[in-house]
Amino acid sequence: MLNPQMVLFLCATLFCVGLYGVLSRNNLILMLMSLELMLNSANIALVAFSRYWAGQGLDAGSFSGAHSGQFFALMVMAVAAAEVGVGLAIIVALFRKRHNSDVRAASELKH
Amino acid sequence: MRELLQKPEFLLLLVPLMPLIGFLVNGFFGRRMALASSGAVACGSIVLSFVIATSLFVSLISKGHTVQSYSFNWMHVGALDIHFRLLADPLSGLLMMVVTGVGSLIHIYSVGYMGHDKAYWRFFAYLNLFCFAMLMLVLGDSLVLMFLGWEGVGLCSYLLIGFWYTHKANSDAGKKAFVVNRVGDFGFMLGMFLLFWYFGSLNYGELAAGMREVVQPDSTLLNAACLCLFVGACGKSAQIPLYVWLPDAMAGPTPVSALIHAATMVTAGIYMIARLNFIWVHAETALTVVALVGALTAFFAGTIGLVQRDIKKVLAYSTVSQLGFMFMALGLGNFPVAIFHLFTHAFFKALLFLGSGSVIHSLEHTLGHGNPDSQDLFKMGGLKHKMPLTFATMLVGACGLAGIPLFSGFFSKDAILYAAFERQDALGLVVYALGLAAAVCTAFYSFRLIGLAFFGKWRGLEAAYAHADESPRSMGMPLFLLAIAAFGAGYLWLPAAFGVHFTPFADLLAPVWQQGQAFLRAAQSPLAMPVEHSHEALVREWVNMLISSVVAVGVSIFAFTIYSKPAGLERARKLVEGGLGAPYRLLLNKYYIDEIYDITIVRPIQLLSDVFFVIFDVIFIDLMLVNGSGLLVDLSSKVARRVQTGVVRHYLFAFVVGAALLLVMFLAVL
Repeated sequence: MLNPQMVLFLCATLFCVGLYGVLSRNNLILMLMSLELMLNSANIALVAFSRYWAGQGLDAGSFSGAHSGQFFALMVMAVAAAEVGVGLAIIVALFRKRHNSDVRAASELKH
Repeated sequence: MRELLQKPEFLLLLVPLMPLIGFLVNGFFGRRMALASSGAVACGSIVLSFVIATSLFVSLISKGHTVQSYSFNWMHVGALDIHFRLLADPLSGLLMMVVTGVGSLIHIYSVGYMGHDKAYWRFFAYLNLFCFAMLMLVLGDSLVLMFLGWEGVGLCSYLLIGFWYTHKANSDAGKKAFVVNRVGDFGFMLGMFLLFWYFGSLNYGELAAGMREVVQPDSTLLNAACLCLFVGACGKSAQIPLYVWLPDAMAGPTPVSALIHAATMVTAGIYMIARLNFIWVHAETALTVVALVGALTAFFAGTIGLVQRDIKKVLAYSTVSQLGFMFMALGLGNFPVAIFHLFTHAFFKALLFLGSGSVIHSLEHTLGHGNPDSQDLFKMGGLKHKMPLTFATMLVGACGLAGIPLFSGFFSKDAILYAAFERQDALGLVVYALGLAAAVCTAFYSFRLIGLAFFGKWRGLEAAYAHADESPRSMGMPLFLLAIAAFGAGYLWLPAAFGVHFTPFADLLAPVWQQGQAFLRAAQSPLAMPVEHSHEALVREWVNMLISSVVAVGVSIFAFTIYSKPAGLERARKLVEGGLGAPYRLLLNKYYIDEIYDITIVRPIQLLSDVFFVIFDVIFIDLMLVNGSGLLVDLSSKVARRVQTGVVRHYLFAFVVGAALLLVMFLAVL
């Protein structure tokens, strides 16, 4: 049985790495990848808790039961896939206009 | 339907309803209707109303009881429960007859007089609306309904004075009438509030019942209420100090002057006091004020009328003066005599106005519409050859106004002077002296008008005289009928001194005064009307009649000899330029009252409104509220827009910080 604290620590680390990547990278592709990292850290936490509650003997039939964490992880994956689809499309469009994918260049939308 | 039409409860509702329907038809569809049908709707509705009113009045006289209409619950607020019900008792029935009768004649007259006007339909719509409002004022069975009509006639007066609104002077005159009347209406409302506070009702019947139940009436409160109501009467009936609007109201079309500003609306104040006579008899102080104000107004306005050049202005001041006579009678406690003078005055003054309108109408053909020369007496003369019917009828009216014996004004005015004469105290003496002086003025200006307009040589533009012609038949017929009424109305109440007991007018109205007179007789008040005439009283009445006859005839002949001949006119002109110059100018400028009001009231109010305009409108609202809020948004957005950098990372950072803060807050709450 995995120690949930260890798993949470892993999640937090991954999340912070992702967050740092989102905030610090200039390349939009890298920012998107960091975002994926944050989402996946959340997925790990969801799956880990699902497993943890199952170990505690909670009934699988109830709504907050052992498997709901796994379902949520699947949902997050689906949303993440959609998000990547949209994000990549934006990046492609931006790249066609500017021939780079630097986030600093796209700052016309102000005032 | 036929059954319904035989019920007086229903018929009474139809009396004011007819002109209202006429107003709605002309008001909504008049613009698209032919002139003839527009006039037919207006005249038809009021004539129909007159026919219904006559049938009701006949049954009222013959059966001797009052007619009440069906009652509707109009308002119900707390203790206040107002019913909409019409009431035709002898007093309101009589006024109903005057309004619909004189109103019908003036509507028919207007068909000719207004024939060339573009806004023909609008004129008739207003005139119908006026008749509706006036009938509501007269027939309503509570002060609230009277007030409804009171405001309605004020509105119509405003609309009709400013009827030719393209001239600024006309719309100004309308505005003046409206504003001055609002001052009076405020007093009227205060009086109503006081009465409601005291009696808990505003229904005439309930007020009378309340008055009977009160053992020791609070005379201070009743005096205050009556004085407040009198302020309202002063406004509507043009008494000092609120008379200034009526002469200016002559800016309206002449039929309007005849109907509204001579025969009906301006007598609303007299009607109101007579209606509430059972309360007024308890307010002796207020009655004294009424008598003095009336006498002063009668004299004061009479003197101004002596020198006016405008034919309608002469009649306007004469109306103010005659209304003063009516208030004199009311103030002396002789209510029926006041109503009698109201009755005769309605005929002869409407006749005089319509006659002057006929003169103006025929001169306007040549001089052009709105030309002041068509109303200037000093640019007329010798018109009796050109307009024989107008001359003859106006002569009857002038004789009535001047109080020439055996004409209607003689009977009614004489009765008022006699009432003052009989008082035999200081008040009676003052009122009598002022009244007699006013009667002198009346006789003078009446025959000055006749002499200047119809006799002597023509003094205006030659072409105007050449084309002057008798007015069309639609105008001649009302003149003729009114002349008959103006002559005959006085014979409905012969003075006791004649030795013939013929007083149908007084007998008809007797029940109206019953309650008040019973109180006065029990209190042995000098205000009580005499029941029987002693031998000495008859002698005094003869003496009084002789004095006023001699005065009326003498002054009339005097004025006529001066103004009907060129030589006399020349003498008068020299006199005015010489020794009498100062008083002449004083009178010609109406004692400078308009100027005094302008300096003491109009200008300060304008100044105050300018100050408020600058402080509240310009500074507070425009500058602080409107521009201030705009400026605030502008400034704050100048600061706030710096947040929107366009750099995605800044937004992300703010988002993360916000999420972190929320998390912290969430944890802190937990």
